[in-house]
Amino acid sequence: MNRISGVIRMHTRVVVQWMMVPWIILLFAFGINYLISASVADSEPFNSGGLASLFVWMLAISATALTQTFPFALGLSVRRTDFFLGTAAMIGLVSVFSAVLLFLLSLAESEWAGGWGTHFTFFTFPFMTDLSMISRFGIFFIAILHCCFLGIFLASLYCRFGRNGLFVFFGCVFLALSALSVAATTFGWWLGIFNWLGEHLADLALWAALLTAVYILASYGLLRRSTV
Amino acid sequence: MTNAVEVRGLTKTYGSVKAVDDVSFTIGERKIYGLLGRNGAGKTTIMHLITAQLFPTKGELKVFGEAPYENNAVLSRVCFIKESQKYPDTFRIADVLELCASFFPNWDRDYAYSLLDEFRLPVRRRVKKLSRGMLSSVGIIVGLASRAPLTIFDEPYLGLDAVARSLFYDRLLEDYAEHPRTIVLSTHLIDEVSRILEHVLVMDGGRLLLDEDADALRGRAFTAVGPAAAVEAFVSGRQVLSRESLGGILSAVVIGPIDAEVRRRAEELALELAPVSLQQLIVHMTGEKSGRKAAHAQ
Repeated sequence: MNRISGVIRMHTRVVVQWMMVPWIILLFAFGINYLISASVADSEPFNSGGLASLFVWMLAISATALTQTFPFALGLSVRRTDFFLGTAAMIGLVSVFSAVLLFLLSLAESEWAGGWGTHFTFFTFPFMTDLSMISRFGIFFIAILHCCFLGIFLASLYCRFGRNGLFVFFGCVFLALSALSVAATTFGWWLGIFNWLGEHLADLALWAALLTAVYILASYGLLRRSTV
Repeated sequence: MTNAVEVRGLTKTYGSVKAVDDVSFTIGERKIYGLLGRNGAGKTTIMHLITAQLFPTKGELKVFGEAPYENNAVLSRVCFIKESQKYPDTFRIADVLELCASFFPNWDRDYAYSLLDEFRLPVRRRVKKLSRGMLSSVGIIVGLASRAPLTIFDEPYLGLDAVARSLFYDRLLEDYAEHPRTIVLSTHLIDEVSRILEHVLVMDGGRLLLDEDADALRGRAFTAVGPAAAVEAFVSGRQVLSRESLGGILSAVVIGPIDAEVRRRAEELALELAPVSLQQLIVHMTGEKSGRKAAHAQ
């Protein structure tokens, strides 16, 4: 237990990166979007999609943190299991923190401010306004958690199989998606896929949660066999 | 008393390359070991295997009587300082030292900071910005202050100046005397460390060439120098590790202790005798094929 908390302490030494950087970037994205929306005369309500920068950054930072701390932790005689548990705990904490912040901002936006000046929304997805508070928070939490563990999974793949592992993995993903899109075009699935997605947007969170669980198990399995 | 490390038939292969080839040895507790050999001899691989940072292809490996892999009872008693250790980019020296307290139960913070002064390290500087020698000093401080029952140093003084190196030997011996533990030193600078080694393991080409007490090893060979004919007469019937001739003078490294019989014979032939240093002996043994055969014959 003591060694797991040691791993958490190791991560908190780079906590500025974990917490501050994505939020600073998000604020910049918000500012830029705000300026653009203000300069566009058209007052059609729109969502900027700038929130995506947060998720991409969470992914990148999780992956970087893992590749940098794993060889260091092993060098300090840390068990791979303890390293993984400590890292997962840290990601849980960071995800809760970010989700709470995002939830409050989205609440402020949709409930109190009603959009920023010119009907543009930043922190709320259009489908979210009909959802309960719990699901709204849950979707943010799962989305962030999903991105973080996707980063962890990719980094674990790198630790275990090196650069070639990533090449093979992305090659396979690319092939699978190509095959899927060929099939979808040939058999005329596209309309069905988009209709389903449109109706089940909120359910995607459940799928993301499932995927996250897969990433967690896969990362653990990979790290257990990783060497430095 | 259990052994610190027990290795039997340990093998690690990368494709067709045998980095470590069927190696067996034991490392006792509370002694200073030297793991010596040329580059690529398999020293670093063995140390990675002992600390479960690499996985063996074959063979048995026990550290403090247990398998080290994912075993906190073992790993918390081991400190492995390696030349290629990576540190997170944002870490300062202070971050590294503070974290060591979480992972090494015997960590002595005050001692670590006093060493920091002696090695003149800037505690607030990022590890990434340190010079090669300073980086080595960080490793040395972690290795000494961790006081782990099994402390392994792999080439701990790359880039270190002579003053810092002798400081390292002094502090190592002092602290070892106060807190006896098993220390494994891997190095090329054999002459410098030979005075502090109690036991020597020599590797060559992935195999264990020699596993012997350092004192016994020091008396294992000597050099005989004199006119070529006299030296040849002297060495006939003895095992010779190497010959070097300069003009009419021949210098031969001969296996065996310098005993009364040897002295008497050397005096008769007017030869000069000199002990062979550990470094010379190992160079002769690992340097050439003939040396290897002679050593195996022993």
